[in-house]
Amino acid sequence: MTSRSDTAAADVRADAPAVPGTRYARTAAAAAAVRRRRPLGLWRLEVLRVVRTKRWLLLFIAYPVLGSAGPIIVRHINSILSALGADGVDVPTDLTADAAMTSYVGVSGQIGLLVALGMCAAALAVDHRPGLAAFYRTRTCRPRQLVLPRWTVCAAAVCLANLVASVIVWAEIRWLFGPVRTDLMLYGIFFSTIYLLMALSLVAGAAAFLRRPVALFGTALIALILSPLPRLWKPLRGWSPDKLSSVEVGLLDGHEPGSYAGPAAVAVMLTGTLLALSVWRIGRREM
Amino acid sequence: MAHFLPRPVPSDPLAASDPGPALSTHGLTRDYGRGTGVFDVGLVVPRGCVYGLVGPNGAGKTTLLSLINGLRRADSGEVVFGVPAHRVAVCTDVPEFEPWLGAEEAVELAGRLVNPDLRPENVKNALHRAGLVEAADRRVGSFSRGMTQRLGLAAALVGEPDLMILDEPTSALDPRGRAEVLDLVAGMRGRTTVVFSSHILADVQRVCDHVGVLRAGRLLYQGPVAELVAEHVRPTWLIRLRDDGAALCRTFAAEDWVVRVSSVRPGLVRVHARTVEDGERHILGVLDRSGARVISVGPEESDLESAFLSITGAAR
Repeated sequence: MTSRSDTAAADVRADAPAVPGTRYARTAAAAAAVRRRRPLGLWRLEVLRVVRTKRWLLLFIAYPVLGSAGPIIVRHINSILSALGADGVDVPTDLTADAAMTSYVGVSGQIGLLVALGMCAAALAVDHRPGLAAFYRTRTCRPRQLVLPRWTVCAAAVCLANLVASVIVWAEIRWLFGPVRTDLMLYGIFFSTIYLLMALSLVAGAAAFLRRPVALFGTALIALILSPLPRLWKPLRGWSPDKLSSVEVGLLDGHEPGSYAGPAAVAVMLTGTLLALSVWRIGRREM
Repeated sequence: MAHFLPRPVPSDPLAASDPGPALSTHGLTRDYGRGTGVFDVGLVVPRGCVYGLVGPNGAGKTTLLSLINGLRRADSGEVVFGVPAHRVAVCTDVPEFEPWLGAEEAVELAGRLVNPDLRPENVKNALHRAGLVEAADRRVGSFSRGMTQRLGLAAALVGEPDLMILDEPTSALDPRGRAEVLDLVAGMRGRTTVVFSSHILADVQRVCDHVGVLRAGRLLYQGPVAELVAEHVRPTWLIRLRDDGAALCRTFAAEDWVVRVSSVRPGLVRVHARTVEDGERHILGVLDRSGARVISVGPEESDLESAFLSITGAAR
């Protein structure tokens, strides 16, 4: 936020002739920026929630930072172990690109998913604090205003972090293990994004019935853990969206992108349904 | 206003010649069981007045306001607003804001949610009226409870509402802050209709011109404060004298229309008559006959508290 004194100073400078490259030009630009400051609505509020609560930092650490370390560690695991003096550890010598991708999906992907669930749970606990709930509920006209900006901005931040991490990891794999097909990379990012959106919609589904952030997080996590259960029934085996959780590894292992279309379709439908349920239930809920 | 729950019925905008009350409820009932809730409440809040909603703890004030502002659903009955729904502002008893927002941002957000074309001057004006100009750039998370309550008022004021619903707006304020908020509320009379719940009867008597008395979820009385107080004038008079008043006490005690007479302190006698009419008819005659040196004589002033106790006590 710009302080009033800053604004006043900028306004004064803005009246001076703006010469490119001078101090006056910079302050005039600042004044114009102040005037153009976007009004604070529900969408910008959610962006501020991600930025000011430093939740973006958790996402950054979980996805790009931890993710980029995975392929490097896999490529140099022998050197690392010998430097650490770890004797007797049996490490395969022929580690390939899919092992590097497995390390990303298994470590960074899982930690990132936990962070994403927590972040979404904190944002979607609309009625956790009664005073805050009253503030929003008495000023908004439609229940979707309470749910969609929160979920969408949170999901966008998570997907962006995953996208950046995936690009870094694919680039590292290409550099450390040799070329990989670009189309597989794009399919991997696409399907993993759909999986993340579905996982976050589980939080929204939990928010339809529960109020506390911890309860939302726990319920969504349990639902994710139990999500492979439908595979026990053979007709559903090819449609279970949990198959998308390791899509990047599967693609490098030689699975066809088309084999993920069914789970992706189910994930998209589940996402839409859970969001609609969340909007409907939160709108009907009493304080 | 929240429209998620059954939407309050807007009044007919064509009836402009007689705009009617700013807010009314008809048979509003919400039963929580075991006698708690609100029952068959028919509130009528005249346009432009400051309406005090009073009642003991657990009387149903907050429940009634929650039903009115849509945060809870009524079992039966309806709420009718005489003003557009977006011109109604609510300030809860414990307002909360995102702690990472600045005060100015919180007020701007509150304003933009009800009026997307909000001007920056409205935000500054609301902060000024709530006495928060100095803290405009501070994060809300660092605010004391009193400042948060002021911020709640600023967030309600920023939309320049026609109807403000304030639930215990002075409960967390220090005496100076309370006086300022009461002055602010009193200053709205005529321009903005205010519904003001409080258990501090002196506050209600100071700023409200209409009052509704709730007890056990039922509206026992509503009407002008002055009428309520006048209706509950006790048949008691205070007489100030030059002497100690002992002789006058004996004189009054001999009268059959006097229930009780006592000396409050030397020179001040309280006479409790059987009825107001008896007192008004006979006191001056007794004083005349007694030859006492009278400085002043007048009815003991009634106040909202005595009226409230009388009403709520009678309902027991």
